[in-house]
Amino acid sequence: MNKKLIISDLSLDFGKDKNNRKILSNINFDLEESEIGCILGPSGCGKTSLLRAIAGFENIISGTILKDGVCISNSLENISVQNRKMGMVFQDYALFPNMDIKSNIAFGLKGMTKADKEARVNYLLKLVNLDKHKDKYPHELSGGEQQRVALIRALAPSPEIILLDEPFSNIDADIKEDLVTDVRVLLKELSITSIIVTHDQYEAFNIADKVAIMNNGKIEQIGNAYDIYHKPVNKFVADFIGLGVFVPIVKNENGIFETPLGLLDKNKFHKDEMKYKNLEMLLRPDDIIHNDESSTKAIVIEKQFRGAEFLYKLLYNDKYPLLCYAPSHHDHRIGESIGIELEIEHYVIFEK
Amino acid sequence: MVPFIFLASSIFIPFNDNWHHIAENVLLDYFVNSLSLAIGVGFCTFIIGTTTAWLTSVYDFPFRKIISWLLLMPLAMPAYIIAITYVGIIDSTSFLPDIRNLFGAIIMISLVLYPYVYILARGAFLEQSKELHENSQILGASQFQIFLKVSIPMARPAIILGVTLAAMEALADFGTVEFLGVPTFTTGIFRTWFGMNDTVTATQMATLLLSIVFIFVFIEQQSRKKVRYSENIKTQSKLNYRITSKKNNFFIAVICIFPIAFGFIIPFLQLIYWSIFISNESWDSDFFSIVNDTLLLAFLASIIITIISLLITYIKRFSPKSITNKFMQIITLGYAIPGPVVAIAVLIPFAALDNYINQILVVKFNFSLGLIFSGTFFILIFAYCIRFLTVSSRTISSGLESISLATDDAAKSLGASTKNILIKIHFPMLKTSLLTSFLIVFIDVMKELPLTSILRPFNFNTLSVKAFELASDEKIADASNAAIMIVLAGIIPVILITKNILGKRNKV
Repeated sequence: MNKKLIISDLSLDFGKDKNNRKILSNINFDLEESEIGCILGPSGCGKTSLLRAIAGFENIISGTILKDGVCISNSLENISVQNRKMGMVFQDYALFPNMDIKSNIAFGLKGMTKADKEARVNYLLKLVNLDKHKDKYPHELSGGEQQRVALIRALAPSPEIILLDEPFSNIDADIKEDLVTDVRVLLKELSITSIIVTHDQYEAFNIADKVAIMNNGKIEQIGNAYDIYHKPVNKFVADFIGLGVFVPIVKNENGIFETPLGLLDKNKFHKDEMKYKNLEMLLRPDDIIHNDESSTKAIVIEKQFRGAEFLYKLLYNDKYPLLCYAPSHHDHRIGESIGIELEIEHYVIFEK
Repeated sequence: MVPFIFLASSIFIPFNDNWHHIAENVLLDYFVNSLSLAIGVGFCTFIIGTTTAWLTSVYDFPFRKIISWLLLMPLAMPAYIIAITYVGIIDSTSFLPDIRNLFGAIIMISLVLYPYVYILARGAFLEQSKELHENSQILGASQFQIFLKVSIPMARPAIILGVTLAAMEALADFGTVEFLGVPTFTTGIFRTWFGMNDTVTATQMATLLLSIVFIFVFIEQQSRKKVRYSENIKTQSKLNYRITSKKNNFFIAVICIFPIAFGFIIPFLQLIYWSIFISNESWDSDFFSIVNDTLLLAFLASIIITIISLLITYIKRFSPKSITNKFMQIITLGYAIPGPVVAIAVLIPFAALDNYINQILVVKFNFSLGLIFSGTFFILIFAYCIRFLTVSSRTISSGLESISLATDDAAKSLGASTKNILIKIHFPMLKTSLLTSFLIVFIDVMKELPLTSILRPFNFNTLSVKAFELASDEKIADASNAAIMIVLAGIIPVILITKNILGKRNKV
């Protein structure tokens, strides 16, 4: 077993809830050494609580958390936060406002000579290009700079795992993309095992090796970005990730499945999917191709200009809404009827 | 807490003759006077406070910045001192109306308490969004209409809070009404207790007063919640426009200078004049020994109270739902309880305890310790705790709230022990609030009158008691030295408050 972190059957509640509602139930998740994991879910789904349980701030009611095969949390025992060798970056960074940047970073350094501490602080500051700010105070820095300070402060004592709670939520959109990439590069360079909690799927897809989708205190799916987008295991994941619409599937008199847009290939079905009666299919905007020649027509009801392409919201056969990306030189009016055709790589089918 | 259970239990003691006498003859007077005083002060502080707040936050006029600061100065003037001064001024002239009546008391107290309303209303006005005001103008509202229909309603929670605070302080006032000869609950309690020597009736009256006070406390706490609520709404841009109209500039400045002149400058200059030209009291060693005693007492009390508040606030932080915390919330209601009521509530049980202990000692060992609690600094400081713990713990808890819980978590995740968190993070961040709490209590103790005069050890004097005694003996001018010292000390927290407000503004 060379897993860095294993969480099994973890449950958590805050005790005082009237309905004895669990904040987290039966969480299973693991990470390899130096893997970057992401917990992605809507707000209030319990993702921050999970992170805090891993950090040791919350006591779990059942299950175990193993680090390097050693139990650090179960229902009876909790290794204290201070002894877990984990670093954490908080949502609003929680920099100590009474200390300058270098003291903030040096705060967690123990058992080192003064010179060693200084060298470590300077090394980390250089790593994120903040060396000229070391004598400033947190409030004198911009949001992005504060975030980087929080990150290297957490990294300073060389933790074995680093936990990041919504690290990019206070960052302006225009610099966020670069920052997400920078952080990934940095974490990979230091080859440190990391967990990031976020509600932003693009952040999750860009930074993580492995994404866990969480809803209502449960993990719905674990996988890489491609699988989660193209092979969602349930309707929640399909809905939460990316754009898409659902169309009904019916079995015609010849025993062939069809959607309002055409017949389906039986070979692309899973066996158990064919047993159910009421099925529906997820159609992503990239499953529907705009083609002026096509005889299948749909009416444009909304459109969004996205630079290189348009996102068209269409209405097919007066009752089925569809989404379709088209290159932006295909500029159609609202109300116009345009040609479309289906091109589906994987079928994503759920019972209604 | 025990003192107040004791107080409340007094209603179960049968009413005696004195009670019946008081109930038939003067109780209604006390009731009407106390209530009129509270309402009158509430009304006057509302008018003066909101008007000056509005003028200084919307209009631009000469010396606006210094005037908006000076408007806080009357806070440094205890009400009984301003009353003493004006009685002195009026007595030396022949054409001014007498203020030794209810109306005079209302004016005197309002002149020094309007800054409560002023600070809170001004804060609320400045938070209001610029867009809202501009929108009202586009819709055709005049400045006065905006004031009445937009600004005041929006600032209502803050204004109500200020007005209730002023009304409560008026209800608790002892020195002013005693000096001006207005019979109210506080003076009535005092008279029944020491004049008629009837502790039972005095206690029952105290309980009655306390129940009236709690109505105000309720209103105050409700409005405090709303203030918090309205502060949560983030406005797009702060009200920072200034109207300049040359025609009215001078007029507006004059309106704003009025309360400063009457609430601070005139009485203060009068005190200085007396001190230099009239006073028979010299700045001799007797006087300085009183100064010394006052400072020592204030120092001791503020250290103790600040430490207790610190403990309370930490209990609140680490176990927000514990019973201790609920208990603490009740304890910190003390600021609303009038001095004579606190005095009676602490003196009676401690005197009983002293008697009890001495009886046992006499019976068992045939010797007596004398007074252990009552008549010593212990009971005085205990009473100060009840009275001033609120101010102090609010100051400290607002300081502690600015340290987010995430900060603690961050320190823990970096391996810091609880002790280290306290020493390296909390203490440096709390330093200012601790100092503020210390200073505010220090000055409050210096100014405090009824508690000190009832509970002080024999032959112990403070500046406030000395000033009041001299003034009551018709030696008003002689009281000026002590009064000047108190006012000068009172200016310190005013400066602190302004710095605090300005500091907050700069951060935003």
